[in-house]
Amino acid sequence: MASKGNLTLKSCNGKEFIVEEKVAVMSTTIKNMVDVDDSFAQGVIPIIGVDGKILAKLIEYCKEHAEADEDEEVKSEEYLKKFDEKFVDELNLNDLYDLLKASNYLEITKLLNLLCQKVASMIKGKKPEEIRRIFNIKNDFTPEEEEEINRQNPWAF
Amino acid sequence: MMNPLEEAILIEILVRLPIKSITRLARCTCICKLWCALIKSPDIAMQKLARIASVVLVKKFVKDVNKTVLSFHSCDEDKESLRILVPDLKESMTLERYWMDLVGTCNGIVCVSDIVCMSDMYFDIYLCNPVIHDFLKLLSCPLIYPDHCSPNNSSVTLERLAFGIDQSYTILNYKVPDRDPGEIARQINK
Repeated sequence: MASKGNLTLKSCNGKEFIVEEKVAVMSTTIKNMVDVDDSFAQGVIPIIGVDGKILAKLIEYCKEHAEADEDEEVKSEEYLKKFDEKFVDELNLNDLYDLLKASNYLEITKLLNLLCQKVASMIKGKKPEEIRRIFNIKNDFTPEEEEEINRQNPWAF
Repeated sequence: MMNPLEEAILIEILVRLPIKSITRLARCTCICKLWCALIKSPDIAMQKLARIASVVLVKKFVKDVNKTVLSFHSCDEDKESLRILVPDLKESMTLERYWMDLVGTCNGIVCVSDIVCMSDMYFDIYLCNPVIHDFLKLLSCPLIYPDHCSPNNSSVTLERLAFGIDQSYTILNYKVPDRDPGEIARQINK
């Protein structure tokens, strides 16, 4: 049982993490759960579809940012920027994917922004074949359709 | 093996691409059906537009080639400027005169006209989406001379053109009407 002010988060593979409430509510999804139902704040909150490794990463990120929000002097903007850079640089592609999905599901907006920016920078300047390979996308066009698309001058409003 | 990203996440990523990449993407919508649909969707263009701090339109006369060209410059995240706005530079090089002018802008879409002088004079009207850096040629038609001008008088203005958006349609519908119901309007209606 978590002490007052702390929440217990449980990953899908059964790992439990005790975190401060201010850290956990960086996630809008968790915040809504706690706000609506007090019993969540007492017991264990299951985080469906997120394993221990990814949950630990999420908590690491939220902890830094929650502390920075509370006391700007201890953790300056510059410090956070460096932390963010290091955080995304150390991720392999699989973890980046899993974190993207988890931060989307848990609605951790700041982290979702950071990760999307990272993926965008990976797409930048790449050829379609390279993009397909990196993101494991199957080309589902028939050769005729592909030719048609290459011929068209796309005009997107 | 990784699963494909959800659509919502993919949109978030695509709108964060710098302009140059999305242009390349727009030409490479062949990645897969989902990407193709997303890149072409109005949502992306609008969101993308909202992210750009400012786009500056520059009109300049290039003396060497005797042309007036328009160019867009943006202050996006890469601090890259957009290349010069010329529909088809190769073709235009062979023409005697090349004169681009701004008709108007609306909702992020820019309407430009271009006078082409060969054996006859024509003018072309283009719509341009500076975000994805692309053109749509609306029409090419012979110049209309005001009644008081002789056909040999080349001082023709394009003041009669207007550009706007009709928001009564659910699909954004851009219109370039002629102030007098003349030849231009008839051609567009085709």
